[in-house]
Amino acid sequence: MKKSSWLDRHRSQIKEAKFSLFLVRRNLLILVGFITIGVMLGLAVFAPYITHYDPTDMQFSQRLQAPSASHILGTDDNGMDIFSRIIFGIRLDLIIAIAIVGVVAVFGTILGVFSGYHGGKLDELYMRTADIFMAFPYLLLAMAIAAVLGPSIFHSIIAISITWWPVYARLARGATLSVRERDFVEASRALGARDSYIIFRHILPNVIAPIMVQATLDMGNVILEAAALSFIGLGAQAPQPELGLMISIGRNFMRDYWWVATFPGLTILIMVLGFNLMGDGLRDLLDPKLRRSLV
Amino acid sequence: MTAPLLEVKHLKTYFYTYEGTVRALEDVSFHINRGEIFGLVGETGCGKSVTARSAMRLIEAPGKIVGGEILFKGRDLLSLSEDELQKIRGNQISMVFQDPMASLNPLMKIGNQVAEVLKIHKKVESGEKLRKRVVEILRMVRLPSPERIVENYPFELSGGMRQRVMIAMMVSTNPELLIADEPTTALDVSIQAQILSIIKSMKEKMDVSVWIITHDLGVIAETCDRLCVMYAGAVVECGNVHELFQNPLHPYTQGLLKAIPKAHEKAERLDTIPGSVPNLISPPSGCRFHPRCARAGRECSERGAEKVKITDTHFVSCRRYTEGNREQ
Repeated sequence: MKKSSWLDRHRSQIKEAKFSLFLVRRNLLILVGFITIGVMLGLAVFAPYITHYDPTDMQFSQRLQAPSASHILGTDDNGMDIFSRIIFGIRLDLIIAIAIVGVVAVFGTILGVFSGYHGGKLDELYMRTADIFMAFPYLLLAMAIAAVLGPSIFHSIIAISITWWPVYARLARGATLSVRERDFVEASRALGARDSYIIFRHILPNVIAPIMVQATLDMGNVILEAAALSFIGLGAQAPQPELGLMISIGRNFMRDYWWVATFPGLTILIMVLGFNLMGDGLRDLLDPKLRRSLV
Repeated sequence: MTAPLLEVKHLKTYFYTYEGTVRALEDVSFHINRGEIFGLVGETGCGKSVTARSAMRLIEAPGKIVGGEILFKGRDLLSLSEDELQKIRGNQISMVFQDPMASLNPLMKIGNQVAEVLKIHKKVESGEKLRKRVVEILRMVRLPSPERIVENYPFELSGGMRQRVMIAMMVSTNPELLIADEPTTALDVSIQAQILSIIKSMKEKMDVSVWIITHDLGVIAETCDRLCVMYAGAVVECGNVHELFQNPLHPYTQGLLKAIPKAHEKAERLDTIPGSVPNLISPPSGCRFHPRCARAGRECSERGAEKVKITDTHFVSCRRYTEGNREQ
């Protein structure tokens, strides 16, 4: 048998990838989203090489310095360099967000797919439980759980995860319900495939696109939520470089030393905006019908 | 006479819906012999597909098989566990579905999808051997350049090609019975002929019995050896294709055959069967066809018809042919 070359075999994928790239480049907002997140990830990964100061190094002689050549974004009330703290803050917040979204997306999706595929009483039980969780405002429930567990980053991750899984469970369940009625699932059953096989080979790959979009959009929301918990003192604790916590501290000096709160705030704004733009873009790119209409 | 490959006896499948119980199948009985192509005909909604799905136990809630027996090589499929059933499905009984556009997973390459069947039933191990076998099977259903198609996704193939892939998947395990549920309905006429000839050649090459479900009498005439006609959840007439087409006995069969437009006759209007398919939540009493039957008598609405043997192979369920009632 003649072996075709790699390029030849992946012709269609390469074509689609090129088309994706073309779409991204054409659409300014998607491009901005991808670049923003790319830069943020770069800053987070290379944080120690970008900054000159240790983010938790207190120099009391340098308290509340205005932005200058040596401290480009100024210093805070403990004399810590705000630029360094923001860079490490991006790193910390991204880690928190990825951890939460990762846990929640995996757990919620598995639960939702299982629930939707099998239906019946278990489905009812899972979904009503999800309803109960969704009945509370996210932040309120997360606050309550974080307060009970005690303030720390790890506990805030747990708290937000517990409030957030129903989003994915519902999404995955809805997608599963529509996929499981498609003929290829029945055909697979007619071929003697087991349920577990059908779920992993046929259902999961077909529900993953909306989950990915939701996960990207949620990165922004989760960052906001984690920052909010830290802001009210239930998340990261000083002197950890966390953006919400930095705003909370800077708030006290807002009138005279505006830079302490403003720059971390702007960073959160840009990061969340970036994730939202990227999520929107991904939704368009991952939808085979929508992507044709973008041209 | 050897025992039939598949024997369906008094099968009843109901669907429990909000509006009431849909009696989709009421006492369906027929059999399929080894090595024949068997056709099940009937109009839309008469329960053909439900029969096929019942035979593979693919009926899902709110549907339920409430009675009868489905004997496959003498074993009652209705009494098997899900595990035992999985070994039969795809391995000994396979099913080709109506819509080739929807019955392949859009995210899997053709080659992988065909290979999966072989893997599930552990027919071939893996690697190069598996790949070769897949290509071989695809070539058998006359797909052009199967080496390339293996790497294609379903969207890159036409409807006819996809249906051929489906058939390839289904026969790859050397099943003894292939169920084809309206295999040609979603395809255009020229492709229909190809698919039918592939099914026929599969039967010859792989020694598989075929059960074709269709509403197209042309398909039956062209391919089948024997057929049963269904109406509103019941089998009304069974026989060899020749017997049935030349000497249809049940008024419904007669009506169906009359309704086929003939190319050499110029007719202003086509013959039709008056009325429409009954609502199966509250089916007509007695014989389910009697409200539309021109020759129905009073007793037709009171008692259902019994199966009457005309010849060794020809059966009809109509009161007109029971002893003492014969007109002809």
